[in-house]
Amino acid sequence: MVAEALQAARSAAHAEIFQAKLAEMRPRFAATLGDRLDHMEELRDSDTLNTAPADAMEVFRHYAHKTAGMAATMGFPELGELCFAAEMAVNRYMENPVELPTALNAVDDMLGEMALIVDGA
Amino acid sequence: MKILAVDDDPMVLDLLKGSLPAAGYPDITTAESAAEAMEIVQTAKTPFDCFLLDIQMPQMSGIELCDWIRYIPEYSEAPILMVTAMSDKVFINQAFAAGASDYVTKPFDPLELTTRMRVAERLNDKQRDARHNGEMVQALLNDNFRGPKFNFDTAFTIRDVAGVIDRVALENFLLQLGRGGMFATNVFAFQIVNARDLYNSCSPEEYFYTITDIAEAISDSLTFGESFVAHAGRGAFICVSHGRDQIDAEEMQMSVQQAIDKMELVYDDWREMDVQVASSPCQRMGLRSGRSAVDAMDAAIDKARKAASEAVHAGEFAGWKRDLIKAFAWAG
Repeated sequence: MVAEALQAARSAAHAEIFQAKLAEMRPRFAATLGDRLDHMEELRDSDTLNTAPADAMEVFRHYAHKTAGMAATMGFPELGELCFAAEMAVNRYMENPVELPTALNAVDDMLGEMALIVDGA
Repeated sequence: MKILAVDDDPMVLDLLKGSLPAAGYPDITTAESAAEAMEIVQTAKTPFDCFLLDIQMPQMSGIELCDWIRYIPEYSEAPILMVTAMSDKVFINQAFAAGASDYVTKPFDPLELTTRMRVAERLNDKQRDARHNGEMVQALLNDNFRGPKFNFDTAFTIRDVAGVIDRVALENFLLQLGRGGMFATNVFAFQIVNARDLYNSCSPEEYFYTITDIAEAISDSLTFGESFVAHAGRGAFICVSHGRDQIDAEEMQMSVQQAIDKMELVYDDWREMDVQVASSPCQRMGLRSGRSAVDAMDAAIDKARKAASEAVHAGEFAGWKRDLIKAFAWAG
């Protein structure tokens, strides 16, 4: 009984501290997002997409994957979903290069949502 | 519980470090790469009780790191929780095959995180209790075993056989599949016929290696879908197969028996070892979830035991009939 009560209290305290920690981390997340966005925008406009598209897409895939989990945790589920969609689209492109336009569309959707969050921060 | 969390995203590590103490886990060490984690593990003054590993990391993945940790004898049973994003689900089977005990999904939910940590803690307590057993296994492997026999009931862990994982890890794998994943999942079990007689006739080392060989024979025979096998104690093995293939239990039992026969198992003194297995019917999980899925594993083991016991009676009847025929022939 005491152990259960203690555990319930711990869970509640954990949830509260978890939320507080997230609030504290949100500006840092937005800043990280800004850096990633800058890097990806630069890559998106560079010639790399023509000369070495797989390399560029690998960078998009990496950032999409890294952002997906934390975005939803930080309270941006839509960005999380768009990152997940972009990662999956890039994976499909890696298997079949014909998928490049579809993958780029998914990447653009992700970048658009990122820009909205960064601007709003 | 001393925890090592490994993720190449420092924000994930910060979140874990900042929130887990409130859940009762203040002792957290972090690493931003597998290489850094390996160094920390190698130089740690006191061993870690639990690992939280991100799956996708540059240079060396969390799955490779998990595999590396498992090769360290003192961590052969430690809880290893993989931290996965939605897109990592495809790697989950590989993670369990590499020795992961469970996984936590990103985005993080504080309740899920504490629940998984509590499971890990319980697992750690259980492993600590079972360390004696682990030490016996190690002693066996070092070929200097002089202690008491294995407990017949103990579901000791079999390592280094592809597709064979710990029973608790198998339960976690099943629990995490969710309803969608259950549709294409089958559960079935194998039981050694007269397992206790086999156990009594073997030295601990012989029994340990026989169980390992049988697990390997089962794993090699499960060629459909993605399959995992776990030793369940008392001469039983539980199997979970994920895929849409139809599984014929009788055919499967025959192929496992053939694989065992091919191994030509013998005792240390080269006497032939007669190992027969019986299987349960194959149970499609369908709409099951959570505990009822785990209960289905226990039910499969019970059915395999029943089949093994029927095989014993059938064998006794055949023997009795043979003796009777011989007696008649002699009299006639």
